[in-house]
Amino acid sequence: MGISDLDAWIEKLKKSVLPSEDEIKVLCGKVREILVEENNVQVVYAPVVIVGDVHGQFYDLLELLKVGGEPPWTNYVFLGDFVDRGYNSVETLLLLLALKVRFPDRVTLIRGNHESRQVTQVYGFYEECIRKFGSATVWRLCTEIFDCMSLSAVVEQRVFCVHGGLSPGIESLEDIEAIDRKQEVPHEGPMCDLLWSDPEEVEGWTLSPRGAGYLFGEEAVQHFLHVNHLDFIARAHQLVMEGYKQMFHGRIVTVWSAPNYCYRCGNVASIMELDENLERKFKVFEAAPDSSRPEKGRVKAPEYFL
Amino acid sequence: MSWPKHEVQTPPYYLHSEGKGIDIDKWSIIVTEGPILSSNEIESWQSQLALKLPTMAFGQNTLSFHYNRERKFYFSTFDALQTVSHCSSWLRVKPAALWENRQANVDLFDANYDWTFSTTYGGTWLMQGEETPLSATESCLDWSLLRREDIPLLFFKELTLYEDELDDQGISSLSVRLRVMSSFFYVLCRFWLRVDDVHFRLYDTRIYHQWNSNVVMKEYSEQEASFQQVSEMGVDSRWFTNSDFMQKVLPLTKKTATRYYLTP
Repeated sequence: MGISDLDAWIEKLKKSVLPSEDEIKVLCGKVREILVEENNVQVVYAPVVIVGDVHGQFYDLLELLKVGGEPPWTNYVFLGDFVDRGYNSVETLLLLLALKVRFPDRVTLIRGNHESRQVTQVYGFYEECIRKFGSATVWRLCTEIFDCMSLSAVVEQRVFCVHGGLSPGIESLEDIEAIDRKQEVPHEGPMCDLLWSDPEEVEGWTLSPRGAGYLFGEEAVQHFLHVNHLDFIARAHQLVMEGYKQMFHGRIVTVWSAPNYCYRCGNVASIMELDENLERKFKVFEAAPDSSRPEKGRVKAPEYFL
Repeated sequence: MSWPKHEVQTPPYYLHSEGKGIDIDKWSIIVTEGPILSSNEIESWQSQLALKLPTMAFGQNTLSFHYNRERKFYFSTFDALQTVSHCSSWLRVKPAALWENRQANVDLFDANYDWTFSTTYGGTWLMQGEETPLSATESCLDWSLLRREDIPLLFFKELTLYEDELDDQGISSLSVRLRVMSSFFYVLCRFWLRVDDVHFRLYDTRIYHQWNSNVVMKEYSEQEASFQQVSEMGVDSRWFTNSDFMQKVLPLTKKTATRYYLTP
């Protein structure tokens, strides 16, 4: 598979033409070779654009690439949750994987909590693979790729990027490097926390009232930044109406990149540009216009519900 | 399928622009819709309600029923959230069992509210009703009429009042569906909870009124079961995300009827 093949795939994918199962097998093989070599804390250089949850909203991802600029001209860190919830997880993930293979140093893919066998079986990606390919083969190939995805990134040794947040089991970046990440996301422990935890106005560490998952406060953030000589944390994982939210005096920022989430929340999305000096600039964008999306007009048809 | 002829003359009606409501018989039914609350609105609601809000609170979504120009009942997100309990729920997500040993070292989030956002809300009523308990097999609704798909449907609306993904461990949602037919209106206000691999809960309020009658009927039911109970019934897991299907299989735990009389 050469560069011209890849470019052709990328162009086709952007028109939402799906590759064959055999082609996907080849693509996954290539992306796997790249991802397994990556560290748990990927090193990234500025300027860079940080992207939050995309959730299978493929036409909004195309809009995002217009707003942020196409790779390789723009350097990207995607903070995970590529799949589930939206109608086009397959197209979304495959386009990102193809871009990763084509421009491995300009596209960084971080694993989100939806990049998991268990979660995708409940929230849409598995069903979509079955519907579009008639079997679970593509889903299986993709979940093997999920296991290879990096857990975090650090921009210019100063900005920590992760899908969910911190873990009480992680003091330093070396602790993250020590994780054996090539597995299904566990239900507890440091790897789970990185993908699932949320910042909250609490003191230190607390447990979610649901009985699983950590909430971490300003103190925990400050401690982690201090120990690791970092400026701030960029994370995703939580829907924000305004597309981004800064907390704890700007020491942590949530970036949300799925506009009109689930096609009905009416929220805007954003991407965060970090320039050479790591100054933040948020580019806010709305959902792709109806004319560019085939799934438009999904207004619920009248039904004789009981 | 053939039905007996439904001898009702459709009364004159007027549809509001952009699907914002309908005037029919002596009723005016009005819809308002908007996006989820902004971060500032969330903060303000949270302090008013002493509750951490569900991730999607559609604060502008309302459905109001006016009779002879007087508001009789309506559905509002704020009112619904006011009914969420301020006691923590006994329910825990599936992975909680694995977290038990961690709980000793860490404080539990001060959860002086029910994280499942369970609510029995079935509208805010501005008239007095007479409530009676019903057995599982009883109903105050005319099901033979409700099931008929040959009667013209004049107006349909579905609104989500709030929804939470429970941190990707299930769903909690409160929604209202309305259909206005040539001879009656029918509303289903549904609270739906699924905690993955743990629990199902369905609290339904059904409201029914036939033109020219002086009564609005409200039927409320509670259905609930653990995942294990449902699995033992042999229900295929692909139905677990479909509340309309699960409504047919979940065991009933409570049922009541309330009659509201309209004065001409």
